[in-house]
Amino acid sequence: MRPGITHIVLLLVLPCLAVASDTGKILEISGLWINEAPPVAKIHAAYLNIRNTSDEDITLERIESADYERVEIHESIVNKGRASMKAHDVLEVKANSTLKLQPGGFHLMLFTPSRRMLAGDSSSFTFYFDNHTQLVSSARVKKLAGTHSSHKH
Amino acid sequence: MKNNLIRTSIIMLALIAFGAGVGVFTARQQAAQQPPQIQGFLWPEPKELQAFSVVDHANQEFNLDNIRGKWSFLFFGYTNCPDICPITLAVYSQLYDKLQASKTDEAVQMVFVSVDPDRDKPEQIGDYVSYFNKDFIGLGGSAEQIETLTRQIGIAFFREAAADDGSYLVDHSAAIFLVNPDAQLVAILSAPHKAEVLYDRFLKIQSFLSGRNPA
Repeated sequence: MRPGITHIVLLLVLPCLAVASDTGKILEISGLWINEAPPVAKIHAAYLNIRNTSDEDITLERIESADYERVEIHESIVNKGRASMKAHDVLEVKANSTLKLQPGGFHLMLFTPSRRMLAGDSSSFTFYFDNHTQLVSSARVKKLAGTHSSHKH
Repeated sequence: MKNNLIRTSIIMLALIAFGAGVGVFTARQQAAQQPPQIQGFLWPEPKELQAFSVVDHANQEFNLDNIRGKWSFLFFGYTNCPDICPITLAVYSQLYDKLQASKTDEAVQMVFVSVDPDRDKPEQIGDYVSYFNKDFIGLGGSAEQIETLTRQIGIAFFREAAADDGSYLVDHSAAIFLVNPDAQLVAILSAPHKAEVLYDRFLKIQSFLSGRNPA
């Protein structure tokens, strides 16, 4: 039987799908959440876990958001009582490890929200890695413990 | 002679025992009166704040008169701070709840001072702090006004270089400063902050300074 167009397409596409699904299992994003911020705040923070189950280090290169103009990677540092933030162009996730971005440490800095983000809302993010993996994850907006609902809208 | 020796020994032993008993009693009395230990955050000779002038959310002057008569927690940050500042103000909120619930007989106020005068205007600062609790006080003003307070407390803040879109970050103190009702800067409470730890330290500082034992 002579190979037709269908066969050729399948031969080309199937391996790619296999690779994509394979690298998709290597990396996992979990616990993505945005801290609900006061209405006047135009820069927010998001936190998450990135799990790398491969034997190689993988680098998070950039993040895009449906609801923010720009997303950057930052690290809060308190040194001798002085708080500062250090920007990171990329973020390395070591082989066989989980990188945790959490309050007071590494976090995603989210610039200029397109809408008011309230606890319970969701927002989609796409994460791009240097192994050509793209992961889409939905962040849930939550309040930090202790934050009251006494604010005005 | 032997009887004299025995009698003398008994008397000596009795005197020694009596002396030891007096010593133990005295030590216990002193221990009972010993003030609670502070975990290294208390200044032995608190610095009295001098005149300063900043503005509150209503653009009204806030100065020493607003500090006297109350315990004041002060934290210095800015409203565009996405991580450390909202975390600290959330802790502020929990701490304030505990203080309110404790029915302390001394007034307490939670103060946030913006060290970003170019972007944080008084009304904006007020909206920011009221999100965490409507009783919180937000202060700001011009750079010169803010420095009348920050310089004497020893706060340094630094505006980093702006990005292409004009946005910038501000380095600031992560500590919470405690001022007593006599407008004396009595303690610096270092990050990371937890409400229960701050509450415990505050009670101990209150007791230490007043000479009372904590409840």
